[in-house]
Amino acid sequence: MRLNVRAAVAATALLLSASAASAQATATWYIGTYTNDILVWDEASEQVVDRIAMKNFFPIGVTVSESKTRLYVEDASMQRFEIVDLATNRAIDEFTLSHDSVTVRFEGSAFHPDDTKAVLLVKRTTKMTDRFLVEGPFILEYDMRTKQVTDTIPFPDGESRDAVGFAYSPDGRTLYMFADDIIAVDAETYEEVDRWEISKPLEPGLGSLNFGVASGTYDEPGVATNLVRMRDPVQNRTLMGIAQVRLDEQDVDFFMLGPSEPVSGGRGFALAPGGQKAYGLYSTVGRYEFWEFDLADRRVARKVPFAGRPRMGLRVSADGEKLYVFVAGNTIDVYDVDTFELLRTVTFDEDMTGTAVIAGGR
Amino acid sequence: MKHLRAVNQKATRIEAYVAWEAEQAKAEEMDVVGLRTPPHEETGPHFPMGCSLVFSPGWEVDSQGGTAGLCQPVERDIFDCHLGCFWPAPVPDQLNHAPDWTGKCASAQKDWRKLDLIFP
Repeated sequence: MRLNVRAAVAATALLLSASAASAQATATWYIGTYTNDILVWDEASEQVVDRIAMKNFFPIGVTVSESKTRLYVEDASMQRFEIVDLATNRAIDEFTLSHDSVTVRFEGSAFHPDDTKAVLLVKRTTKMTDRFLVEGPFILEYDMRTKQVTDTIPFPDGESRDAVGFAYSPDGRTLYMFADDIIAVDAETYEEVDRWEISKPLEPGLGSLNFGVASGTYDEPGVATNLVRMRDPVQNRTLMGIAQVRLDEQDVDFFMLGPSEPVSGGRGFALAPGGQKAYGLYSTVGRYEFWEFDLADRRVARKVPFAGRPRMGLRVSADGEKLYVFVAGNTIDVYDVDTFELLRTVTFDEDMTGTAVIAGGR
Repeated sequence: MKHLRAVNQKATRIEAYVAWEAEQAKAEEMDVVGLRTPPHEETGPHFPMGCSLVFSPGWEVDSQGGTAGLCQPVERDIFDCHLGCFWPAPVPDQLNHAPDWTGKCASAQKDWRKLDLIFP
Protein backbone atom coordinates (compact mmCIF):
# COMPACT_ATOMS: atom_id res chain seq x y z
CA MET A 1 0.00 0.00 0.00
CA ARG A 2 1.31 3.39 -0.92
CA LEU A 3 1.95 5.50 2.14
CA ASN A 4 0.79 8.85 0.91
CA VAL A 5 1.43 11.26 3.71
CA ARG A 6 1.20 14.98 3.17
CA ALA A 7 2.44 17.36 5.77
CA ALA A 8 0.68 20.65 6.24
CA VAL A 9 3.53 22.60 4.74
CA ALA A 10 2.73 21.18 1.34
CA ALA A 11 -1.00 20.82 1.64
CA THR A 12 -3.20 23.75 0.87
CA ALA A 13 -6.65 22.26 1.15
CA LEU A 14 -6.27 20.28 4.29
CA LEU A 15 -8.88 19.50 6.85
CA LEU A 16 -11.53 21.99 5.92
CA SER A 17 -12.44 20.53 2.58
CA ALA A 18 -12.98 17.01 3.78
CA SER A 19 -14.66 17.58 7.09
CA ALA A 20 -17.50 19.52 5.62
CA ALA A 21 -20.21 17.62 7.41
CA SER A 22 -23.01 20.12 7.51
CA ALA A 23 -24.26 21.26 10.88
CA GLN A 24 -27.19 19.21 12.14
CA ALA A 25 -29.96 20.57 14.31
CA THR A 26 -29.86 17.70 16.76
CA ALA A 27 -28.45 14.28 17.36
CA THR A 28 -29.65 11.09 18.99
CA TRP A 29 -27.51 9.38 21.59
CA TYR A 30 -27.78 5.65 22.29
CA ILE A 31 -26.39 5.16 25.77
CA GLY A 32 -25.62 1.73 27.21
CA THR A 33 -26.26 1.49 30.96
CA TYR A 34 -25.70 -0.82 33.90
CA THR A 35 -29.24 -2.13 33.43
CA ASN A 36 -30.81 -4.06 30.57
CA ASP A 37 -31.75 -0.82 28.83
CA ILE A 38 -30.17 1.43 26.26
CA LEU A 39 -31.26 5.03 26.73
CA VAL A 40 -32.31 6.98 23.65
CA TRP A 41 -31.41 10.56 24.48
CA ASP A 42 -32.40 13.50 22.33
CA GLU A 43 -29.68 16.08 22.33
CA ALA A 44 -31.85 19.13 21.57
CA SER A 45 -34.40 18.54 24.31
CA GLU A 46 -31.89 16.80 26.63
CA GLN A 47 -34.57 14.24 27.42
CA VAL A 48 -34.61 10.46 27.39
CA VAL A 49 -37.13 9.86 24.61
CA ASP A 50 -37.11 6.06 24.57
CA ARG A 51 -35.57 3.01 26.18
CA ILE A 52 -34.47 -0.03 24.22
CA ALA A 53 -34.78 -3.22 26.26
CA MET A 54 -31.97 -5.73 25.84
CA LYS A 55 -32.38 -9.40 26.67
CA ASN A 56 -28.91 -9.68 28.08
CA PHE A 57 -27.49 -7.96 31.14
CA PHE A 58 -25.92 -5.44 30.50
CA PRO A 59 -25.00 -3.66 27.21
CA ILE A 60 -21.44 -2.40 27.00
CA GLY A 61 -20.61 -1.88 23.34
CA VAL A 62 -22.93 0.09 21.07
CA THR A 63 -22.01 0.21 17.37
CA VAL A 64 -24.01 1.97 14.66
CA SER A 65 -24.24 0.15 11.33
CA GLU A 66 -22.90 1.85 8.21
CA SER A 67 -26.47 2.43 6.98
CA LYS A 68 -27.44 3.88 10.37
CA THR A 69 -30.48 1.62 10.48
CA ARG A 70 -29.18 -0.78 13.13
CA LEU A 71 -27.27 -0.96 16.36
CA TYR A 72 -25.02 -3.88 17.19
CA VAL A 73 -24.94 -4.19 20.97
CA GLU A 74 -22.43 -6.37 22.79
CA ASP A 75 -23.34 -7.58 26.26
CA ALA A 76 -21.03 -7.48 29.25
CA SER A 77 -20.23 -11.19 29.07
CA MET A 78 -18.74 -10.52 25.60
CA GLN A 79 -20.60 -13.60 24.35
CA ARG A 80 -23.64 -12.09 22.64
CA PHE A 81 -24.51 -9.41 20.13
CA GLU A 82 -28.05 -8.12 19.95
CA ILE A 83 -29.27 -6.33 16.84
CA VAL A 84 -31.50 -3.29 17.30
CA ASP A 85 -33.72 -1.96 14.53
CA LEU A 86 -33.54 1.83 14.74
CA ALA A 87 -36.84 2.32 12.93
CA THR A 88 -38.67 0.78 15.86
CA ASN A 89 -36.00 1.03 18.56
CA ARG A 90 -36.46 -2.63 19.38
CA ALA A 91 -34.08 -5.59 19.51
CA ILE A 92 -34.86 -7.85 16.55
CA ASP A 93 -32.20 -10.53 16.72
CA GLU A 94 -29.13 -11.77 18.55
CA PHE A 95 -26.28 -14.16 17.99
CA THR A 96 -23.71 -16.00 20.05
CA LEU A 97 -21.13 -18.71 19.48
CA SER A 98 -21.29 -20.05 23.04
CA HIS A 99 -23.13 -23.25 23.75
CA ASP A 100 -23.23 -25.88 26.50
CA SER A 101 -19.82 -25.96 28.16
CA VAL A 102 -18.20 -23.90 25.42
CA THR A 103 -17.74 -20.17 26.02
CA VAL A 104 -16.74 -18.00 23.07
CA ARG A 105 -15.97 -14.38 23.85
CA PHE A 106 -15.86 -11.63 21.23
CA GLU A 107 -12.69 -9.59 21.60
CA GLY A 108 -13.00 -7.59 18.39
CA SER A 109 -15.57 -7.10 15.68
CA ALA A 110 -16.57 -5.27 12.53
CA PHE A 111 -19.87 -5.42 10.70
CA HIS A 112 -20.17 -5.41 6.92
CA PRO A 113 -21.93 -2.32 5.51
CA ASP A 114 -24.67 -4.48 3.96
CA ASP A 115 -25.37 -6.02 7.40
CA THR A 116 -25.04 -9.59 6.16
CA LYS A 117 -21.84 -10.66 7.82
CA ALA A 118 -19.31 -9.76 10.48
CA VAL A 119 -15.69 -10.40 11.19
CA LEU A 120 -15.04 -11.46 14.78
CA LEU A 121 -11.92 -11.92 16.88
CA VAL A 122 -12.74 -14.65 19.41
CA LYS A 123 -11.31 -16.90 22.07
CA ARG A 124 -12.94 -20.22 22.91
CA THR A 125 -12.93 -21.78 26.37
CA THR A 126 -14.23 -25.32 26.90
CA LYS A 127 -15.02 -26.58 30.37
CA MET A 128 -13.65 -30.12 30.57
CA THR A 129 -14.11 -32.56 33.44
CA ASP A 130 -10.71 -31.75 34.89
CA ARG A 131 -9.64 -28.47 33.32
CA PHE A 132 -10.51 -25.58 31.05
CA LEU A 133 -9.29 -25.81 27.48
CA VAL A 134 -8.53 -22.35 26.07
CA GLU A 135 -8.18 -22.05 22.29
CA GLY A 136 -7.54 -19.14 20.02
CA PRO A 137 -7.61 -16.34 19.32
CA PHE A 138 -9.27 -16.87 15.94
CA ILE A 139 -10.54 -14.43 13.34
CA LEU A 140 -13.87 -15.65 12.00
CA GLU A 141 -16.25 -14.61 9.29
CA TYR A 142 -19.81 -14.91 10.60
CA ASP A 143 -22.90 -14.93 8.41
CA MET A 144 -25.61 -13.06 10.32
CA ARG A 145 -28.39 -14.40 8.07
CA THR A 146 -27.67 -18.11 8.48
CA LYS A 147 -25.98 -17.65 11.88
CA GLN A 148 -23.05 -19.78 10.81
CA VAL A 149 -19.30 -19.33 10.91
CA THR A 150 -18.44 -19.32 7.23
CA ASP A 151 -14.68 -18.81 7.17
CA THR A 152 -11.53 -18.60 9.27
CA ILE A 153 -9.41 -15.60 8.35
CA PRO A 154 -5.63 -15.73 8.63
CA PHE A 155 -3.96 -13.32 11.04
CA PRO A 156 -1.96 -10.46 9.54
CA ASP A 157 1.48 -11.76 8.58
CA GLY A 158 0.51 -15.14 10.03
CA GLU A 159 1.14 -13.94 13.58
CA SER A 160 -1.55 -14.80 16.11
CA ARG A 161 -2.46 -11.72 18.16
CA ASP A 162 -4.66 -11.03 21.15
CA ALA A 163 -5.69 -7.70 19.71
CA VAL A 164 -6.44 -6.76 16.12
CA GLY A 165 -8.63 -3.88 15.03
CA PHE A 166 -10.99 -4.22 12.06
CA ALA A 167 -12.92 -1.88 9.79
CA TYR A 168 -14.74 -2.38 6.52
CA SER A 169 -14.46 0.22 3.80
CA PRO A 170 -17.75 2.08 3.22
CA ASP A 171 -18.35 0.11 0.00
CA GLY A 172 -17.73 -3.18 1.82
CA ARG A 173 -15.14 -4.44 -0.66
CA THR A 174 -12.14 -4.10 1.60
CA LEU A 175 -11.47 -5.18 5.16
CA TYR A 176 -8.78 -3.26 6.99
CA MET A 177 -6.83 -4.96 9.75
CA PHE A 178 -4.95 -2.77 12.21
CA ALA A 179 -1.85 -4.49 13.56
CA ASP A 180 1.71 -3.13 13.38
CA ASP A 181 0.80 -1.99 9.88
CA ILE A 182 -2.59 -1.38 8.30
CA ILE A 183 -3.30 -4.32 6.03
CA ALA A 184 -6.08 -4.18 3.45
CA VAL A 185 -7.56 -7.52 2.43
CA ASP A 186 -10.29 -8.38 -0.02
CA ALA A 187 -13.52 -8.70 1.97
CA GLU A 188 -14.48 -11.89 0.12
CA THR A 189 -11.22 -13.80 -0.37
CA TYR A 190 -9.24 -12.26 2.53
CA GLU A 191 -6.17 -12.03 0.32
CA GLU A 192 -3.96 -9.04 0.98
CA VAL A 193 -4.48 -6.35 -1.61
CA ASP A 194 -2.54 -3.53 -0.07
CA ARG A 195 -0.43 -2.61 2.92
CA TRP A 196 0.21 0.63 4.74
CA GLU A 197 3.55 0.35 6.51
CA ILE A 198 2.90 2.80 9.32
CA SER A 199 5.28 0.98 11.65
CA LYS A 200 8.15 2.41 9.66
CA PRO A 201 9.22 6.05 9.91
CA LEU A 202 8.37 8.30 7.00
CA GLU A 203 12.04 8.91 6.47
CA PRO A 204 15.26 8.39 8.41
CA GLY A 205 15.52 10.57 11.48
CA LEU A 206 11.79 10.60 12.16
CA GLY A 207 9.67 8.38 14.36
CA SER A 208 6.61 6.57 13.09
CA LEU A 209 3.24 8.31 13.05
CA ASN A 210 0.73 7.22 15.66
CA PHE A 211 -2.81 8.20 14.69
CA GLY A 212 -6.38 7.10 15.25
CA VAL A 213 -8.41 5.49 12.47
CA ALA A 214 -11.90 5.58 13.99
CA SER A 215 -14.28 8.07 12.40
CA GLY A 216 -16.09 10.52 14.65
CA THR A 217 -19.75 11.49 14.49
CA TYR A 218 -19.03 14.53 12.31
CA ASP A 219 -16.38 13.02 10.06
CA GLU A 220 -17.30 12.20 6.50
CA PRO A 221 -17.74 8.47 5.78
CA GLY A 222 -14.37 6.79 5.46
CA VAL A 223 -12.53 9.69 7.06
CA ALA A 224 -11.09 9.86 10.58
CA THR A 225 -9.87 13.09 12.17
CA ASN A 226 -7.90 12.70 15.36
CA LEU A 227 -4.75 13.63 17.21
CA VAL A 228 -1.49 12.33 15.83
CA ARG A 229 1.72 11.85 17.73
CA MET A 230 5.19 11.33 16.39
CA ARG A 231 8.39 10.67 18.26
CA ASP A 232 11.27 12.97 17.37
CA PRO A 233 14.21 10.74 18.28
CA VAL A 234 16.78 13.39 17.53
CA GLN A 235 15.37 15.98 19.91
CA ASN A 236 14.19 13.21 22.26
CA ARG A 237 10.64 14.48 22.44
CA THR A 238 7.17 13.56 21.22
CA LEU A 239 5.26 15.91 18.94
CA MET A 240 1.51 16.28 18.75
CA GLY A 241 -0.64 17.34 15.85
CA ILE A 242 -3.88 16.63 14.04
CA ALA A 243 -4.30 14.12 11.24
CA GLN A 244 -7.05 13.32 8.84
CA VAL A 245 -6.95 9.73 7.62
CA ARG A 246 -8.67 8.41 4.50
CA LEU A 247 -8.21 4.67 4.50
CA ASP A 248 -9.71 4.16 1.05
CA GLU A 249 -7.27 6.58 -0.50
CA GLN A 250 -4.38 5.47 1.73
CA ASP A 251 -3.87 9.07 2.58
CA VAL A 252 -3.00 11.04 5.71
CA ASP A 253 -3.02 14.81 5.88
CA PHE A 254 -1.50 16.09 9.06
CA PHE A 255 0.04 19.10 10.73
CA MET A 256 2.00 19.30 13.94
CA LEU A 257 1.08 21.68 16.76
CA GLY A 258 4.09 21.36 19.00
CA PRO A 259 5.40 19.17 21.82
CA SER A 260 3.02 16.49 23.02
CA GLU A 261 0.76 17.42 25.93
CA PRO A 262 -1.61 15.18 27.90
CA VAL A 263 -4.56 15.82 25.61
CA SER A 264 -6.20 12.50 25.02
CA GLY A 265 -7.09 11.28 21.56
CA GLY A 266 -10.02 8.95 20.98
CA ARG A 267 -12.93 9.81 23.23
CA GLY A 268 -11.16 12.91 24.60
CA PHE A 269 -11.05 14.52 21.15
CA ALA A 270 -14.07 15.65 19.16
CA LEU A 271 -14.40 17.16 15.70
CA ALA A 272 -17.08 19.83 15.53
CA PRO A 273 -19.79 19.84 12.83
CA GLY A 274 -18.52 21.67 9.79
CA GLY A 275 -14.98 20.51 10.30
CA GLN A 276 -13.46 23.91 11.07
CA LYS A 277 -12.90 23.30 14.77
CA ALA A 278 -12.12 20.45 17.08
CA TYR A 279 -11.91 20.19 20.84
CA GLY A 280 -9.74 18.19 23.20
CA LEU A 281 -9.45 17.52 26.91
CA TYR A 282 -6.18 18.24 28.65
CA SER A 283 -6.08 16.14 31.78
CA THR A 284 -3.49 15.77 34.52
CA VAL A 285 -3.95 15.15 38.22
CA GLY A 286 -5.90 18.15 39.52
CA ARG A 287 -5.76 20.21 36.34
CA TYR A 288 -8.15 20.04 33.42
CA GLU A 289 -8.45 22.24 30.35
CA PHE A 290 -10.56 22.54 27.24
CA TRP A 291 -8.39 22.90 24.16
CA GLU A 292 -9.90 24.40 21.04
CA PHE A 293 -8.17 23.53 17.77
CA ASP A 294 -8.57 25.86 14.81
CA LEU A 295 -8.26 23.51 11.86
CA ALA A 296 -8.39 26.29 9.30
CA ASP A 297 -5.40 28.14 10.72
CA ARG A 298 -3.80 24.92 12.05
CA ARG A 299 -3.25 26.09 15.59
CA VAL A 300 -4.43 25.72 19.15
CA ALA A 301 -6.86 28.61 19.45
CA ARG A 302 -7.71 28.45 23.16
CA LYS A 303 -6.78 26.63 26.34
CA VAL A 304 -9.30 27.19 29.11
CA PRO A 305 -9.06 25.56 32.57
CA PHE A 306 -12.24 24.08 33.98
CA ALA A 307 -13.37 21.98 36.91
CA GLY A 308 -13.01 18.61 35.23
CA ARG A 309 -12.77 15.16 36.65
CA PRO A 310 -10.71 12.07 36.00
CA ARG A 311 -11.76 9.88 33.09
CA MET A 312 -13.75 12.15 30.84
CA GLY A 313 -14.98 11.84 27.30
CA LEU A 314 -15.95 14.72 25.04
CA ARG A 315 -18.53 15.30 22.31
CA VAL A 316 -19.69 18.38 20.46
CA SER A 317 -23.39 19.09 20.01
CA ALA A 318 -24.92 18.84 16.56
CA ASP A 319 -25.40 22.61 16.41
CA GLY A 320 -21.78 23.14 17.43
CA GLU A 321 -22.76 25.32 20.39
CA LYS A 322 -22.28 22.97 23.32
CA LEU A 323 -19.71 20.53 24.62
CA TYR A 324 -20.67 17.39 26.50
CA VAL A 325 -18.35 15.92 29.13
CA PHE A 326 -19.33 12.44 30.19
CA VAL A 327 -18.24 8.75 30.31
CA ALA A 328 -17.78 7.75 33.97
CA GLY A 329 -20.91 7.77 36.12
CA ASN A 330 -24.48 8.87 35.39
CA THR A 331 -24.06 12.49 34.34
CA ILE A 332 -23.42 14.57 31.24
CA ASP A 333 -21.99 18.02 31.94
CA VAL A 334 -23.07 20.55 29.33
CA TYR A 335 -20.64 23.42 28.58
CA ASP A 336 -21.00 26.48 26.40
CA VAL A 337 -18.61 26.25 23.49
CA ASP A 338 -17.87 29.98 23.42
CA THR A 339 -17.24 30.62 27.11
CA PHE A 340 -16.51 27.04 28.26
CA GLU A 341 -18.78 27.68 31.24
CA LEU A 342 -20.81 24.88 32.76
CA LEU A 343 -24.43 25.38 31.75
CA ARG A 344 -26.02 22.44 33.52
CA THR A 345 -25.63 18.77 34.37
CA VAL A 346 -27.91 16.12 32.92
CA THR A 347 -28.41 13.27 35.38
CA PHE A 348 -29.63 9.79 34.54
CA ASP A 349 -30.84 7.10 36.89
CA GLU A 350 -28.21 4.71 35.52
CA ASP A 351 -24.45 4.75 35.11
CA MET A 352 -23.34 4.73 31.48
CA THR A 353 -21.33 2.16 29.53
CA GLY A 354 -20.80 2.49 25.77
CA THR A 355 -22.35 5.30 23.74
CA ALA A 356 -23.08 5.87 20.06
CA VAL A 357 -24.39 9.06 18.46
CA ILE A 358 -26.22 9.57 15.18
CA ALA A 359 -26.18 13.13 13.91
CA GLY A 360 -29.49 14.50 12.82
CA GLY A 361 -31.45 12.05 14.92
CA ARG A 362 -33.98 9.59 13.59
CA MET B 1 22.31 13.31 1.27
CA LYS B 2 25.80 13.19 -0.23
CA HIS B 3 25.42 16.71 -1.50
CA LEU B 4 24.20 18.13 1.80
CA ARG B 5 26.42 19.04 4.69
CA ALA B 6 25.25 19.63 8.23
CA VAL B 7 25.91 23.23 9.20
CA ASN B 8 24.26 23.45 12.59
CA GLN B 9 23.97 21.32 15.73
CA LYS B 10 20.50 19.97 14.99
CA ALA B 11 21.43 18.80 11.52
CA THR B 12 24.54 17.16 12.94
CA ARG B 13 22.42 15.33 15.50
CA ILE B 14 20.09 14.15 12.73
CA GLU B 15 23.07 12.78 10.81
CA ALA B 16 24.35 11.04 13.93
CA TYR B 17 20.97 9.53 14.66
CA VAL B 18 20.49 8.27 11.11
CA ALA B 19 23.96 6.71 11.22
CA TRP B 20 23.17 5.08 14.57
CA GLU B 21 19.86 3.81 13.18
CA ALA B 22 21.61 2.31 10.16
CA GLU B 23 24.15 0.64 12.42
CA GLN B 24 21.39 -0.87 14.54
CA ALA B 25 19.67 -2.21 11.45
CA LYS B 26 22.82 -4.13 10.54
CA ALA B 27 22.95 -6.00 13.84
CA GLU B 28 22.15 -9.67 13.34
CA GLU B 29 20.93 -10.35 16.85
CA MET B 30 18.27 -8.04 18.20
CA ASP B 31 17.15 -7.94 21.80
CA VAL B 32 13.59 -8.83 22.64
CA VAL B 33 11.98 -5.71 24.08
CA GLY B 34 8.33 -6.73 24.24
CA LEU B 35 6.09 -4.37 26.21
CA ARG B 36 8.96 -1.95 26.50
CA THR B 37 9.51 1.46 25.02
CA PRO B 38 12.59 1.53 22.80
CA PRO B 39 15.55 2.98 24.76
CA HIS B 40 15.94 6.06 22.57
CA GLU B 41 12.29 6.91 23.15
CA GLU B 42 12.32 6.63 26.92
CA THR B 43 11.82 9.89 28.72
CA GLY B 44 10.78 8.79 32.19
CA PRO B 45 10.44 5.71 34.34
CA HIS B 46 9.39 2.53 32.57
CA PHE B 47 5.91 1.32 33.49
CA PRO B 48 4.91 -2.19 32.49
CA MET B 49 1.69 -2.53 30.54
CA GLY B 50 -1.61 -3.27 32.25
CA CYS B 51 -4.09 -1.27 34.27
CA SER B 52 -3.50 -3.23 37.47
CA LEU B 53 0.19 -2.46 37.28
CA VAL B 54 -0.01 1.20 36.44
CA PHE B 55 -3.16 1.78 38.50
CA SER B 56 -5.09 3.23 35.63
CA PRO B 57 -7.92 3.94 36.08
CA GLY B 58 -7.46 2.49 39.55
CA TRP B 59 -9.44 3.58 42.53
CA GLU B 60 -7.03 2.91 45.38
CA VAL B 61 -4.18 5.03 44.07
CA ASP B 62 -3.73 6.98 40.88
CA SER B 63 -0.92 6.86 38.38
CA GLN B 64 1.12 9.25 40.52
CA GLY B 65 0.77 7.09 43.63
CA GLY B 66 -1.66 9.54 45.23
CA THR B 67 -5.40 9.87 45.42
CA ALA B 68 -6.06 13.20 43.70
CA GLY B 69 -6.33 11.58 40.29
CA LEU B 70 -8.92 9.01 41.22
CA CYS B 71 -12.37 9.08 39.77
CA GLN B 72 -14.34 11.55 41.79
CA PRO B 73 -16.42 10.54 43.53
CA VAL B 74 -14.89 7.11 43.82
CA GLU B 75 -18.27 5.48 43.14
CA ARG B 76 -18.18 6.93 39.65
CA ASP B 77 -15.47 4.50 38.70
CA ILE B 78 -16.11 1.38 40.71
CA PHE B 79 -18.38 -0.20 38.09
CA ASP B 80 -15.78 0.22 35.40
CA CYS B 81 -13.25 -1.65 37.53
CA HIS B 82 -15.86 -4.40 37.79
CA LEU B 83 -16.56 -4.32 34.05
CA GLY B 84 -13.36 -3.49 32.29
CA CYS B 85 -10.46 -4.43 34.49
CA PHE B 86 -11.40 -7.96 35.54
CA TRP B 87 -9.66 -7.15 38.79
CA PRO B 88 -10.80 -9.85 41.18
CA ALA B 89 -9.37 -8.54 44.45
CA PRO B 90 -11.01 -5.15 45.06
CA VAL B 91 -14.21 -5.73 43.07
CA PRO B 92 -16.09 -8.87 42.11
CA ASP B 93 -15.17 -10.55 38.86
CA GLN B 94 -17.83 -9.60 36.33
CA LEU B 95 -17.03 -12.16 33.65
CA ASN B 96 -17.18 -15.35 35.67
CA HIS B 97 -18.33 -15.12 39.27
CA ALA B 98 -20.55 -12.10 39.78
CA PRO B 99 -21.95 -10.97 36.42
CA ASP B 100 -25.02 -9.42 38.05
CA TRP B 101 -23.26 -7.70 40.95
CA THR B 102 -24.58 -4.36 39.73
CA GLY B 103 -28.08 -5.73 39.06
CA LYS B 104 -29.71 -3.97 42.00
CA CYS B 105 -27.65 -0.83 41.66
CA ALA B 106 -27.90 0.97 38.35
CA SER B 107 -25.99 4.02 39.56
CA ALA B 108 -23.17 3.47 42.02
CA GLN B 109 -23.10 7.06 43.18
CA LYS B 110 -26.80 7.00 44.06
CA ASP B 111 -27.48 3.39 44.99
CA TRP B 112 -24.20 1.99 46.29
CA ARG B 113 -25.88 0.67 49.44
CA LYS B 114 -27.72 -1.82 47.26
CA LEU B 115 -24.52 -3.48 46.09
CA ASP B 116 -24.39 -7.05 47.37
CA LEU B 117 -21.58 -8.57 49.33
CA ILE B 118 -19.87 -11.29 47.33
CA PHE B 119 -18.33 -14.31 48.99
CA PRO B 120 -16.02 -16.76 47.23
